[in-house]
Amino acid sequence: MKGKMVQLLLTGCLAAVVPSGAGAMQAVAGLEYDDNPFETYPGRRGGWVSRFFLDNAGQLLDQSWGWVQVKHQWGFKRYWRGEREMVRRGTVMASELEVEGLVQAHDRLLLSGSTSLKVKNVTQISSEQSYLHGGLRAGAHAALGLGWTCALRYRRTGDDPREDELADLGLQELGTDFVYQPNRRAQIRLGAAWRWLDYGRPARVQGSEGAVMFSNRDQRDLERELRLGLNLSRWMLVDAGYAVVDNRSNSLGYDYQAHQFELLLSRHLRYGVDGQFYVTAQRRRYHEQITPEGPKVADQEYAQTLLFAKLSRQLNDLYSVGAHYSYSRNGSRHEQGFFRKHIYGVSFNVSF
Amino acid sequence: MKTTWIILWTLALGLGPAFGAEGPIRDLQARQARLGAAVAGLVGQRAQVVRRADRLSAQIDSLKLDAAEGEELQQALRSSLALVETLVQIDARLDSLSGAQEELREQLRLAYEWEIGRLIQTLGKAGPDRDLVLQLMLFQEAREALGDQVDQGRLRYAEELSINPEDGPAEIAQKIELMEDMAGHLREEAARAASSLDRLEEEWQLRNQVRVFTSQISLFDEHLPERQVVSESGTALELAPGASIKAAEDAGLSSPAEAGGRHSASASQRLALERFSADDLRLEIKKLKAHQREIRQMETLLRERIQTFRLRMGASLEGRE
Repeated sequence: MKGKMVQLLLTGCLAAVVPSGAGAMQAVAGLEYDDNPFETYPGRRGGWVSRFFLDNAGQLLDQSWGWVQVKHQWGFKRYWRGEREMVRRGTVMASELEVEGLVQAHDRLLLSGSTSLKVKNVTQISSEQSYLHGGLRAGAHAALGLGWTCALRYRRTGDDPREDELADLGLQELGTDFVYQPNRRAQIRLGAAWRWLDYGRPARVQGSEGAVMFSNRDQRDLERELRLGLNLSRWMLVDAGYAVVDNRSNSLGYDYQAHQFELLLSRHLRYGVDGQFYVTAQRRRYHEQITPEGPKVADQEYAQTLLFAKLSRQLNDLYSVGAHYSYSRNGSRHEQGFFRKHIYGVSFNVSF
Repeated sequence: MKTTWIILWTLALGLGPAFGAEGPIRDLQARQARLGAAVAGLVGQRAQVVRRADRLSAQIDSLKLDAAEGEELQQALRSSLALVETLVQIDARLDSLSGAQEELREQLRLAYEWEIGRLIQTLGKAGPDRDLVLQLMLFQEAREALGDQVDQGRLRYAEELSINPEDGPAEIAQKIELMEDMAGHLREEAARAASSLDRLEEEWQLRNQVRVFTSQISLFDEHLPERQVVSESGTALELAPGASIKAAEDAGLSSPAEAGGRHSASASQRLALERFSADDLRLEIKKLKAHQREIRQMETLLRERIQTFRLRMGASLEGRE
């Protein structure tokens, strides 16, 4: 209870933050029909969801040698029906504050840093969790010449879920990127990252008699990623990425290899209408699965597909309207272990 | 405890505005002074070399008259060649420094514009402040002085087209034609700049839309992979250990302690949010607008010059009659 109060207080504080200096603010109010709002399987009960989103960005410092900016997002979703009969209607409230800075340390060297704090508060919805998330990021970007740049980055994040039973996850990441940018409109990226995840909960091991049991050590994973990306901005904005991730864990059943794909498109269409399209898909193969008889080689794959499409039209400098559709599928690739959902929505945007 | 270091870092970054704002201008001025000193040094060297070359040239002339001094003449000619080579090197260095000076002036103009904009904003918010107004006036004067120099530099080609006393109407007409050509090129350049500006502003708008679009998805974690599925009975079943729901239920491993949920730390799944930042475009749009202003100024100056030449040509024709 105390934790929830602290979280609500933090959410309120973050929502009240309005960065000073030159900036822009956008508000989006929307209404959508979700045919599976509680992400259940196999039965689905559709329902309406209203949502509000506020995006605010401002410069704290803006100099030729560097800048500091603040970004703040606040959002609210309210479900029009309860997850089950006689259950109150659920809400999701999230707020994220990010302070980001960049310094031109040398003609060919940029140093960047950012810190972020996110609060998510969920009530009466079992498919989502409340948490407090903090992150710190530091990076160095060196221009190598002939359109090549190299970046080294370090990230550290911590999650503090409100529900005691969820993992208290800490992450450290070390990454490097090589970017080839022959001009402003085209960019090819090749990156590698190592992530050390500490779940703060006991790891599962196989006992001497073959049974699965909890060990006295915490679960620790090492995730290695290789990522390839392309970014174009000529007659449309295009961002495509592919990554292969290999996860090794000291906890039984968590080793996996994943392939991820991501594509984002945005362009002006006709009659003043702009279109945005985002799709991401991943396929994850676990090395072993746990059965009543003990662990065995996994024969199933986990798959996730998410698709968002949005059309918007600017009415004037201040107002715009939009319509969106989203589809998602999550879970095991076959049998009964996945859910699907479709969302149809409209929104009204105001730019201040 | 977990967030203490984050808050400290936030505060550290928030102190950014406390740093001096005129630093870049001072740095640029210092670099300009260093470049000026280097140019002055080279000009001095060049004058010395020219004087030595003049003396050597006089010596060579006298040696040429004296046929007996053949060896000395050869030596003087060789020294003369070396001096010419030195002169070429000095001129090349001067050209390079001149380019650097021009670039530095451009940077200074941008820095002054930046500071002027900032001061105007501060004055608008904080109300009248004598010191700030004084500083603003100083910056505006400095900026104007730089602007004139740059325009003169860029219009050097047109300045060479002056009217000489011996120029007749035909010569003046030729020069007018040449300047009209130049004005035509400037118009084309202005059209290109306007078209680029339209494209950039359109792209800026698109990027902003994408930023808001992806920010929403990211804020509500709608892009993160699900680590659990809720069954009809309302139990959260974790997918991570690789089992299907049925198998997990059978194995009795669906205890809440293992449920991962849609977790914010699914770090490998990041959105293309950052890669569509519109910040770099803002600077480019600003530069292009400044370039447009320059083109307009140059075209105006050229038009005025053409008008003057036309008047002079008219007067010249009347004089003939």
